[in-house]
Amino acid sequence: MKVRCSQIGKIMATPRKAGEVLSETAKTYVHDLVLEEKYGIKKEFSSRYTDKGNEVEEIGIALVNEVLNYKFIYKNYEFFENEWVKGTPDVNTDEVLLDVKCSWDATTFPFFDTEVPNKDYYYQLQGYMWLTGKQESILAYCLINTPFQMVEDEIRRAHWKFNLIEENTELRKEVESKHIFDHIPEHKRVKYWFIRRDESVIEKIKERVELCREYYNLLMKTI
Amino acid sequence: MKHLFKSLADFQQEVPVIHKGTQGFGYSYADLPAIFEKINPLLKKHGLGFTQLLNSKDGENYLVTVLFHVESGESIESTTLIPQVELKGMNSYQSFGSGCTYFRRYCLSSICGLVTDKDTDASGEQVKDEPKKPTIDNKRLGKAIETISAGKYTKEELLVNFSLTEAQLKMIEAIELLI
Repeated sequence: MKVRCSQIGKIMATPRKAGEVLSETAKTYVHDLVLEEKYGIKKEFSSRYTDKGNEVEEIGIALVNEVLNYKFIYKNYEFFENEWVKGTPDVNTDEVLLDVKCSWDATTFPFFDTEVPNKDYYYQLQGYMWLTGKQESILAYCLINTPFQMVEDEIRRAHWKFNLIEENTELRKEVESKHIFDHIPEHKRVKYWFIRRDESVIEKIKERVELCREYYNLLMKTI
Repeated sequence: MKHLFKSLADFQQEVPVIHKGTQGFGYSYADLPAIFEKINPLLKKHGLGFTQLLNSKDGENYLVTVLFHVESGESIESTTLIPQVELKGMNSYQSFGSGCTYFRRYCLSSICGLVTDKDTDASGEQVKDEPKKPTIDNKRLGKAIETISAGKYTKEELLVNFSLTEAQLKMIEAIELLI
């Protein structure tokens, strides 16, 4: 059993109950893995947030390329794994190991955050550095225009919410303002953090994966 | 009915596709003034007219749309229930007015056989775009070419991962010849 880098945060959560070694979040993650392995039940996760992320990812990479003034960075398709974790970083060139997070809308973009807004992403990048041997990585949040059809879906959703049949111009503008950012300078639409490789964190990840593996093996025998 | 049907058929041959100038719910629609502007002169030309009546029966409201041939008096009509829906932010009268406008538009379009722009939403004909390769601007392409020259990226990867314009493809070919 290996853990996806994007899921490391789940297994690193601290258990609430004293004496427990795995948090409920970690256990739920292991349950999903067991069900997938044993019965082929795969929990697909897709939402408008992930759809936008996938659709605009390349634009996000291009924006980071421009704003951070790299030579040429591009989407990585190489899958990495070691004995404990696995994953495919967004960008892995000589210049940079990068993960791009494209915010769903303006309200979820960390304009004012001074620290990494989500610890899960910190762990994800520790995982990628572990896999690629890199010492440093970048977590970059990008504010990219939501694709046209998705904005229109949001406008329609807002109208349904208010039971509006005829289009309301104000509501359209309100929704568009959350999704279209042409008026914001490019460099203000990328927020990034350098994350250094931390061997002690990697060691903890390794320990936690092994604990998950014990739980996984136990469940595989009993289910 | 032969006069009405002939005139209606002639009208339909002549009436253009009415472009949807008003934005709404992810698609644009032709509003009533846009429809009137297009059809009124042609209805007159072919001796046709219409009226839309509001009727009430058993506590329900109906829209009756009548299309008639002026000289013969022949007519066809449709009756449509206007559901009573309370719309948020509107009083009962406003909600009813909104519903009337909505149904007037569709009933009139329907009885006249009007064609508006292809509706990409409500018609169920919406087709999700195939995943497209991303494009690359010339500045970034320049960086890509430098990276290719340095042996850290390949032309094949570039072609597989990006959609290049004709001009960009020619640029790459030209650079290859120089190399």
